[in-house]
Amino acid sequence: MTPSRLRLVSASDLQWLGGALALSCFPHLLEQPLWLALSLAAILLLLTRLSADQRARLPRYSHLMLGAVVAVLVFQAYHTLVGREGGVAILMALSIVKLLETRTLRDVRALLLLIFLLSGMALLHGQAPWQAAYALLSTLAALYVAQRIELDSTLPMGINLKISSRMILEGIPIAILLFVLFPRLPAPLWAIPDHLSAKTGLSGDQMTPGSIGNMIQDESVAFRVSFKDQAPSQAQMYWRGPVFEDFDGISWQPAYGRNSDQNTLRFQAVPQIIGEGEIYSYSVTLEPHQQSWLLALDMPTQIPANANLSNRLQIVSNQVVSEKKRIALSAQLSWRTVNDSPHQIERSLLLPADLNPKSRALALGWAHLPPRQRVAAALNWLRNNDFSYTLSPPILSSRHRVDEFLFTHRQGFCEHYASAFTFLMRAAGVPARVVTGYQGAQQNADYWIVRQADAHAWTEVWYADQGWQRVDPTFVIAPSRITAGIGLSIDSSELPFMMRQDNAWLRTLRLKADVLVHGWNQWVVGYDQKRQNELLKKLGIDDFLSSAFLLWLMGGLLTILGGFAAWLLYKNQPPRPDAASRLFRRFLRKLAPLDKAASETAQAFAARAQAQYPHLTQHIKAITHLYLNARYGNDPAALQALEQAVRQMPRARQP
Amino acid sequence: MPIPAALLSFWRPYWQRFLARRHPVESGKVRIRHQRLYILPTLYGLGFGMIFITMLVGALNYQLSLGFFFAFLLLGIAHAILLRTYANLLGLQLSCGTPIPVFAGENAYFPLTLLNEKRQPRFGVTIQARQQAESASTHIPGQDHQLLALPVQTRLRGVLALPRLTISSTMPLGFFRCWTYLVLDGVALVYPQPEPDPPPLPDHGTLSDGKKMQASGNEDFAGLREFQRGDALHDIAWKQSARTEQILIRQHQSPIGATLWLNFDELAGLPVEVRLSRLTAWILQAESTQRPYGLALPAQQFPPALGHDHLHRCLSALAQYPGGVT
Repeated sequence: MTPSRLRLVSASDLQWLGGALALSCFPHLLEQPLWLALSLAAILLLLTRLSADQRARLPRYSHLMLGAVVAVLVFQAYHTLVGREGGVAILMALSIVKLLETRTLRDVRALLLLIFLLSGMALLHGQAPWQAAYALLSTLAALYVAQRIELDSTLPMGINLKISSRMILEGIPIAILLFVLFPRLPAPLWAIPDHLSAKTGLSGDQMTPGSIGNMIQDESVAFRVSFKDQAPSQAQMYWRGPVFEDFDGISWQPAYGRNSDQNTLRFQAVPQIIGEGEIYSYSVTLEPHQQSWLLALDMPTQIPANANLSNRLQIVSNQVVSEKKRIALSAQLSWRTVNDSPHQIERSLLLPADLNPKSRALALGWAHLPPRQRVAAALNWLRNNDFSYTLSPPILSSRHRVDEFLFTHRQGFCEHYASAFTFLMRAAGVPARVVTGYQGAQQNADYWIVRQADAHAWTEVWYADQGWQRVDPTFVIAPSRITAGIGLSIDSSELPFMMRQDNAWLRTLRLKADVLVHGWNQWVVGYDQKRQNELLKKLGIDDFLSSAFLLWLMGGLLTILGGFAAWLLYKNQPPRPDAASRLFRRFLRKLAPLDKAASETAQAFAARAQAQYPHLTQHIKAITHLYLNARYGNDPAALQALEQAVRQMPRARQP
Repeated sequence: MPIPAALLSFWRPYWQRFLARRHPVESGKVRIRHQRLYILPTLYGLGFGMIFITMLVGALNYQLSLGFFFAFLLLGIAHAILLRTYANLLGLQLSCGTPIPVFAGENAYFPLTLLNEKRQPRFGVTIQARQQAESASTHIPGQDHQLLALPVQTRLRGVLALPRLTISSTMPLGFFRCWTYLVLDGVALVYPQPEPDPPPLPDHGTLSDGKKMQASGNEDFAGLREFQRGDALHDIAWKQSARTEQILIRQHQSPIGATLWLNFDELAGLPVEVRLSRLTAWILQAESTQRPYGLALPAQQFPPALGHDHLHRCLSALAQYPGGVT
């Protein structure tokens, strides 16, 4: 323990420290409830403004009290002090309080370590490029302040900034190497009770007519898709999401709820999908939606690892998708399903009794037809009865909502049609269910973007010979919705900017930016175990215990570390002296063991040397004179004469 | 780190011998070479390592790709700092000059020259001599040198060799401590400690002709001379000075003063060190009162004289008197 650790830190240094802390806390404060963020920010601001002297006069117990207060505040906000939200909040809050009692270098160092941690933990809130850049910025600030305080603020600002940024730059090669090669785990180390933040997107709980219409205003990206070879046409892109079976007259609910007993049932008696036609292989980079279902092109024929196909033909991941996730899938666009469970088919015919009598009567009129023609008849009826597709349909409020829609308003969005059509089919005796998901995509460079606004709902009916097949009643009402995307099927002004059809350069620019974001997501954020395996295979590494892996790791480390070491030794070489100095050194060596002190002038040394070696007086005098002329007099002739003179001078002492 | 004291004391001689072998005495300008430069993380650096591990575990648990990158970036930064800390000392050149002699018990200040040939400045170079509480630290600008007076506490008279130096630095960030040991061949002469309250000068001293002489103090007026720097104020002859427009000094010439002999053998009955200590005190007293004095040691004699050189010769002889522990 050196006393320097107890050195008191100056007030201006502490203000810098407060600034760095504020910088590293900022992204965390953004994520806190407003009142908590404001109170923590106020404390931070206040502490940064206080001088060290003022803070020294605060009583000792004030830190403890303030610590207790913020702990209560955080608990009030999250009802926990661990996990992602509560843990980050309490760590940040206590770091802020720590600033209060920071006086010595030791305290400063502890706080700086926390600042490094807070900078990195900001990535928990998101991994977008700007968030990564921000983490780098606050790391830079921490390094800057650390260096400033360590050096007792003797370093000019510009030089300090240069050194700090170079430290980060020099760290990047090692970071990249280890990032690529460090083994990833397929699952978290331990599950942390997580506060599920409300996210926009499809709901897996229920579908009420009107719920998808609300999503149309949301232009955020749901997922991005890259097709391996060829992409299907836009009209064929049905992205299958949650399936709903139970209707209570108002909303559709999934067959199985969220509780775990029922969940295990989801994977029993799974029907088989027999695909026909071309196989489309593609990968989906899914934005986190805090649900476990994945979105796949209808119908999936290959299930990714860590996921299962439910008996509703829905791909369900083993974990909640809480981070960006990249999955590889393949699909076939026409199919049959076999081995459907009779129980499920029965269930797909159930309707609440004594609701929507008019619709039932209409459907019963088709009951005598074969199933396919019942479907065709219903679609025909929709086509011929003046229905329209609109984002702002009148609100359905009566008890018989399907009747109200079909016979009164006749204006609706996809979920109105899917819901009503499924009702009609069940009433007509065709097993039917509602499927939600997304329809269509926007091509950008070599991949496709699916936005929340592309959310869609359709109907699936069951035929004895073909199993479950898709019927999209919206197609009948607004064919352009399916073939050309939502932008052409609806009045533009109702749509969010990115979904409109009027071509603007700004939209092109944003799509260009999305290319970068997509690359970032694929290669940086989405670099998981699977990606790593793919990349390592390309490098000839099969697993982490192979010699090839060790070779790459060691080779990489040696190249980087050895490069740095060589550079260090090279940089450490004294600059090569000029010709005159080199000759003078030769002259000095000839006079060994007499040594010239660093502070001694050439003339003073010459005097000393002459006294020591009187027989060399002539040489010493001449050489000193020539050296001074050559080095300081800028006399090229003297340099040559010096060389000659040094060569001719005998050694002072023969060995 | 708590290491049992017994174990420590058992290993210490071996360790010291090992260090002595590895770091022999070097003379002239010594350059710090990479073979003898050691580096280890400090507590602070280990704390930074803990932050790295925390980030790594967090990234594993939350499957945060960028978390991995950030954690490894911390590692890369630590590596960059490691190299910088190492480079901070690598190639530094040191040489030791001759310190001004001191009295035992005072600090001897060894003048060290630190020469930095690099263009980059070297920060926070700390030098500490072995078993010394005090250390000196300095920044050396690029392509420049810095002079440093390293205090070494003295306890005994004699010739004090500069103890083994530990040259260390934790700059730029304090995560690592880089150090080396260096044994430079500087020596300091340590005069005996003057006796704190010595008896008056031996007025019973013998005259040069061997007769006992009488003590009569330094009251005899011997003449005037011109003022020189360092003369005592009370010696100024104000009246005469006023007349001649020169500052004049009264010179006292007591007969004893001319022949004050400080004799080692006359202090019989006292231990050697006490005798040396008393002689030192007397010499200082005689010098300060400008009484010429001679020093008689069993093996050496210094005829009476005054002045800095004489003082130094006498005190050196006392410092190097045989039997002393250096």
